[in-house]
Parts: sequence; structure tokens; C-alpha cells
Amino acid sequence: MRIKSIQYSFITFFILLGFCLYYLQIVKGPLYRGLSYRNSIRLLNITGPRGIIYDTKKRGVALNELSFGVFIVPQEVEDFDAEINALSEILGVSESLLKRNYKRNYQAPFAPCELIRDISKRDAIIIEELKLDMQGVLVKEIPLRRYPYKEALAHVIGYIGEIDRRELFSLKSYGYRVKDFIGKAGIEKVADNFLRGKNGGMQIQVNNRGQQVKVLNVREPREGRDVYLTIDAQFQLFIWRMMRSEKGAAIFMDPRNGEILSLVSSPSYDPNISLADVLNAEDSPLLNRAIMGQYPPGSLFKLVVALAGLESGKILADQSFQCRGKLDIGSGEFNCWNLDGHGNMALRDAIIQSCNVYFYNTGILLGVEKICEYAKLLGFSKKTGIELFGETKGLVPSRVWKRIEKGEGWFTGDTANLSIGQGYLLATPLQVVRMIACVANGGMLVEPHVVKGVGETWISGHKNIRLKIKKENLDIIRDAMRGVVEDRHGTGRLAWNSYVTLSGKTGTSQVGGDLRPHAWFGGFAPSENPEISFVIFLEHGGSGGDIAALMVRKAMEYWFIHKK
Amino acid sequence: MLNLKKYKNFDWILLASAIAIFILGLLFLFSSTYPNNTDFVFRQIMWFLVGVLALLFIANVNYRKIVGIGHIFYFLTVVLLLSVFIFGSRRLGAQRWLVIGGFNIQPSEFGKLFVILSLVQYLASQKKYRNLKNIVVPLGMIAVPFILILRQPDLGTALMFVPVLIILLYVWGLPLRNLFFMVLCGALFSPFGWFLLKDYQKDRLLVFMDPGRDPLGAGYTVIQSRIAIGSGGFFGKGWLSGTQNQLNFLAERHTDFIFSVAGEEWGFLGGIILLGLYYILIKRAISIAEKTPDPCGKLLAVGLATMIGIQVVVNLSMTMGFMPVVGLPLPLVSYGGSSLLVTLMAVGLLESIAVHR
Repeated sequence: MRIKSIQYSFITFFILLGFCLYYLQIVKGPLYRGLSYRNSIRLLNITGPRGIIYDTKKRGVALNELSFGVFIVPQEVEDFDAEINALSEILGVSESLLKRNYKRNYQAPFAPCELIRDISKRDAIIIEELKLDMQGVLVKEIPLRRYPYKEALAHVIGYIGEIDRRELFSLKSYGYRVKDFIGKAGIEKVADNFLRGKNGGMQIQVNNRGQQVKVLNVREPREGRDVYLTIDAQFQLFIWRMMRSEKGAAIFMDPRNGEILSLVSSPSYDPNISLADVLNAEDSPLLNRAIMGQYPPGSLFKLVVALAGLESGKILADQSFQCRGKLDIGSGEFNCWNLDGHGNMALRDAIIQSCNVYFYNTGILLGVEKICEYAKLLGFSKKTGIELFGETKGLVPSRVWKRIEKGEGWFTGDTANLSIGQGYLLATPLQVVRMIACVANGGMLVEPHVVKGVGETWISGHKNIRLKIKKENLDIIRDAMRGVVEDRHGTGRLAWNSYVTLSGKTGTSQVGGDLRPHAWFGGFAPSENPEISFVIFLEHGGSGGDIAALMVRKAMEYWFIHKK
Repeated sequence: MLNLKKYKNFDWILLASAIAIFILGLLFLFSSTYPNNTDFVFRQIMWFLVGVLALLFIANVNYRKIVGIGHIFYFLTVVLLLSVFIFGSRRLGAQRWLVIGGFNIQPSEFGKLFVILSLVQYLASQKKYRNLKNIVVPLGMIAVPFILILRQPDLGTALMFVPVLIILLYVWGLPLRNLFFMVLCGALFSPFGWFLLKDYQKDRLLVFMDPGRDPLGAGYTVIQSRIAIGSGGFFGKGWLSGTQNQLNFLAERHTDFIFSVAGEEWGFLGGIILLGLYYILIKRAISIAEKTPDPCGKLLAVGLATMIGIQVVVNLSMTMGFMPVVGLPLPLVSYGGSSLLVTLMAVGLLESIAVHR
């Protein structure tokens, strides 16, 4: 019957509808549940404040300063253009800048969107007073990273910046997020994991227009951990002021434990302001010359050669060589810096007067292999392990190295050049100061470091290696180094001062061409019981006995007057 | 006039299922307009009471008398639709409403019922199929309201006349080959109908083919409705707890899309219960048609069952996104006085058929 068939078609339709419902709600239910959840739940990040960086005397060297920023809550705005216009007049910035920032920082209708940061207190008060007329505008305090020592400490502390795509890719799994600030160099970068606050967040329920309906959940952000440095910021500032007119590096280190007291590289940059200008500057202010720069160490390397000679028994302290101002080696002629010749002299005087001929002879007696062996023993051609990024290794040449790199054999002349720290030899100022510290502290190769502690924890367990070097040989070297400053003929006598006994060694490394040589001065004080070792390196700074020596004197006077 | 003996044939289950659907619907409405809902709920209850009075009144009157003045209802329909065209108030881009004594009346809703009455009147007057005139006259009868309603524009209501007419002709006894021929002609002609559609109606059809086409515009309603229903799962998110609903993601959720609220908050369980109640309603209507010996009563009962049933099927399918969006309310559930009143009047007519065997 026809009526019955109508009924059956309705049954069919209803069963079909039941299946549709089943498909949508049971089969696809989890999918749609997820979609509806995402429809209505938003997350708002709250960044935890970054840890402070302190120097060894607990002076803040990287601080969070409160600054005022203007924000706008999109969902509360009544007349966007009028409000932007008013703000632009108060702040004296262009409307287009504010609008550009708005577009860039916009997250959601309920999330305060930053229009401009770091406004003056006066402007902040004015806006705060006019707030009733400007719906949705608010002034918030935002932490701003400040580096009070500016250029002086930039190479140690580094700076922070917004995370870039590459960093985000590799650090995502560690909880870094878009728009996070991250250390880009120095301690800010090395200790970023400790310094960065733990981000909190707010879970917000929104309606179809994305407007906040209620807050579901809040997780408070946590402060990052503070970092304590071994650096003495005031001393650092003093050294920086001395160095800033030159190009080069200066490192002051406690030879007993490897704590860096000051590490300066010049030129430097101000991490408080945008780095756009310095990125491509021709004298590379971003290059940390103290740990990245590789230079021939010049006469400072004579200390290594002397030690190698004594330790291997090739020379004795009273071994003397005749200096006539030059030495014929093979077909070449190798000069002493004193072309008149030093005459006949023993090891102590050879160091004091930095006689090249003496060390040509010693080096040839030793041979390249022995020199390399002791150079490596004293830490050359490998990284010191300082916490800062970008440290380089330097280079200690060898027969094999030359064959591979230069395609020729090793000549005796190469050995002669190596013996006075020239030729292919390259070292970082940090490697040099470590070698000097090793002499000063009686044969312990320390691990230089700038971080003393993180939060409540003091860092210990630095790898300080006691070398198998005879104490009496080190005494001979130290005695000679004292002579460099105190002897009438000493090349470093300009460093002499009345506050503290000083031992040192000058270096003047030839760079070829018409350029002035690099100046070096390395040493330690007090001579009897060294508590500070140092190296000053001036790129094209002339003779190590001149400006560099005067700087050492000033630095030592400052240190021993001001240390408590 | 009131003869209690007559009421032994009164179909209490039919009435009970209608009331049960209405009460469920009232809960959905309460939630979909929450928290500013007193006005909506109050109006809906008021219309329900009016509707129940109409139902009882009509149930008492012999339906043959009502069918006998079918042509008057038809005339009334055309007049009302024309006056909508002239005086009608505009809302949501359509001119569907007449304001009479402070009430918004939707004549096309009444048209659904009145046109069925007049069709039944005509078909019942013809003993059996004799010539083409028996098809052409009913076609002409629906053509006038069809075009008037389509121009409002209200595609869903207009299109509803088509299956109603086919089923009436089928039940009336039109030979199957004539019926097939008619449907075939219609099917061949229908592509030309595309040009009769308004742009937004074309959009809806295109969006149905590809919902991602315009996710924030025409597709938004359907996508959000699907998400709402799908996210309900088996037990639903609970009354007044649907996030899609309460956070305003659903459009038209107290009228045509009210089932998305039901699906989200009451889940599969609620949906099946609602479907079951509708099934009972339609099953009872059809058994009334089967039990009455009067061909006129049979025709009317099937026509009314079809009117309600098709709206349920189409509305649920489009809310779930299995059909293009055409504006048909969910009978007894969607907010709207005219639709509620007309559905209750239809139930009254069914009761009248049951009572006046």
C-alpha cells in the first residue's frame, strides 16, 4: 500500500540521520571536540624576569631596569585612529611607527599589544592621566635589560635579542618560544639557560570574536637565576678606559685558580643600544680579541723556549751564547732586535734583554719537536675552556703541518723564527696569560673562567693541571722575568712601580709590511707570591716595552691600591 | 458540541510526543539564548499556549468542513504572501514577516499548511486520474505561492511544496508512470532554476559542495555547527555548557540551527531521543491515515505527516552539514511563533481526522 511505503521511507531517512549523527559525534567526535576546544581556548604568555649578572663584588653588571611601555588592548579600543593620534602627539613619535608596532605585536583581542617601549616617566604619567579618554590604552612597566658598564664589559657579558628562526628551531624543545629574548653573545648566551626566567602563562576562554570571556588558569612566571662573575667591574672599567684608544686586548687573571679579574677587548660596543651600526664596522668591535684573536706571541714565547731548554737539559741556566746582532742560519741571516749585538750573555740576561740570537741558538739546539712539545704542554694550540663563546685554538706549527699546509719541508730558519714566537706560531691572548700564570703559580695549568656561581651554587671542579716541571727551572724563569722590570737593561722597566714588585716579559711581534708590530706585555705580581697575572696585547701597538708597559704599571698601581 | 464519546479515538500518544518535543525544544532554546533568554522563552511558551488552544479547537471541528473551505485558505495564503511583498518587514536580508497587532507573522509558514489543505480539497474532489488536467491544476496551484515565497527569498519553504505535492499525488493514486514522467520533467527543468536563485542562495549551494570555500562567510555557520554537534560526543557537554553555543560561535542557533545546540550539549544520546520522538509523531500521523476510511482524511493525514517529516529531515541534515543550507525550521523546537502555531494546528487536524472517523 502506498501509505505504508511513505512510512518506510521516513524510517529509512530517520535511520540515515541516526547514522549521520553517529558518524559526526562518535566516529569524528574527538576531532570536533579538539576543534571546539581550540576555538575557544587561547594561551597568553607571561615572561619571567631574567636573572641578574653580578661581578665578584656583587655589583650588578646586567640588570633589569623597569621602564614604561605603552600598550593597547584591542578589544577595549573605541576609536583606534583617534587614540593612536593622541599617543603620537604626547610621545612625539609618528603614527605610522605606532601602527607598525601594533601590527607586529598584535596577538589577540584580549592581549595587551605593545605600541612603544622605554618612554619617559613624564610621558607615562601624562598618558596615565588621560587614560579615561583613551579606552584600552595602558601604561605597563616592562623589564628592560641594562648594562651599566656599557662598552667596558660588553665582551664578557654579551647582550640579548629576540630569538631568531635558527635558534628557535634548535631550542624549541627546551621551551623557547617565538618573541622570547635570548642571549646572543657572552655570558648572556652561555648562561642563558640559567638566566632566563621560567615563562608563565594564562589560559583564557574567548568568544567567537576572540574576546576574553574568562581566565581559566594562570601559571605564575619564575625569575631566572642570577649569575656571579669573577670579574671586578670597577677594575674592568679602569682597564677599559685605558685600552679604549687602542686596538687590542687585556686579560687579568688570578694565577692561583684561573679566575678572570678583567677581560677587555677593544674596540667594543654598547650592548644597551642597537647593534646595527657595529655589525659591519671595519675594526670589528664584536670580535672579542682576548679569546678569538690569534696573533704571533713574539718574545713572550721565549719563556716557553727557555723552559723547554732547561727541562730537556739542552741548556743550563749559565749556558751563554754570543750575540753579534745577527745569526747566519742556512743561507739566511737572522737579526736580533739590537743590531749592535748583546755580546756574550747567559739565560737570565737573554730574557731580561730579550735577545733573539740567544733563543735562535736555544731553539736550534732543541729542535722543532721539543719546542712544540713544551708549547702544547703549556696550553698552546688548544682551547682553554673559558665559558665564553667563539674561543679559537691558535696554532703551533710542526714539520707535518708545514708539509700538509705549505707543501714544503721544515727549515732550520723556521725553527729560529718559532723560537722567538714568530713565523707560523699563533696564540690567543688568553692562552698567553695562562702560560704566564703557569710560570707564576709554580707549574699549574689553570682553566680560565669568568663564572663564579649561578644562583646559590658556586662553580667548582675546574680542570687545573699540575705540569711535571721542575720548580728550580721555574724559579730561574721567574727570576729573569723580575729582572725584565727591575733590571737596568730590562725591556719592561717602564712597568716598574713603587706599589708592588712586578715580573714580566715584553713582546714585539713583527707583522710584515709597513705595519707597526704588535705589542705584548705579560707578567704577574707580586713577584714573590703572585696573586695576579696579566697580558696586555696591542694590535700594531709598537714595542711591548712602551705603551703596553706603561699600561701595566697603571693597572698594577690601580689594582694594588684598590684591592681591599 | 463537546461530545466526550468522540474522544475515545483521540490520539494521546501523538499529542504527548508533540508536547515532549516542545518541552525538549524549550530547554534547547533556554540554553541557546542564555543568559538573556526570558523574552524568547516567554514568547515561545505564549505561542505554544495559543497553539494548543488552536489544536484543541481544530481537533473538535470535523476536518471535512475545514478541507471544504480549502480554496478560501488558498486565497488567504496568496493574499498574505502578496501583502508580505508589499508591506512586509525586512529582517536578515529577507522580507518574510508581516507585523499584525505587534506580532510578527510569517505567512509562508501558514502557506505550508493552507496550500496542503487546498491541494487535498482539489484531489479529494477528483475520484481518480482521468487526464493531464489532474496534474496541471495542482502544479498551477503551488506555482503561485512557490514563486511568491521564492522571491522573499525563502528557498527552503518554497521547495517544500515539491515533495509534498509528489507525495499527495502518489497517495491519491496517480498511476506510477505518470508520476515518473512528471518527476522526470521536473528534474530536466530544474537546472534552469539556478537562474531563479539569488546570489546568496547560489553561494550556499556552492559552499555545500566545498565548505572550505568561504570559512568565515557562507561556510562559517555550517562549519561551526558541525564542530558543535561533533564535539558533543555521546553524552554532550551538558546543558548550558556547550562552548560553541555559549561563546557565540554558532549563528542562528535559536532558530534554524537550534539542533547544533542540542547536539553539542546533549550529545548523541539527546539527538537519538529527539529523533525517536519525531519518529513516534510521524508514525502516529501515518497510522491515522491508515485507520481512517475516508480518502480525503487519508490524503490530509499523509500530507501533514510529510510536511512535518520533511522539515525534520531537511533541517537536521543541513545542521549536520549533509545538505545545503536552506531555511527550514525544526518543527516544535526552533524559535518562531508561526512555525510552532502551524505545526500544532497540523497536529490538531490529525487529531480531528482520528476523532472524526
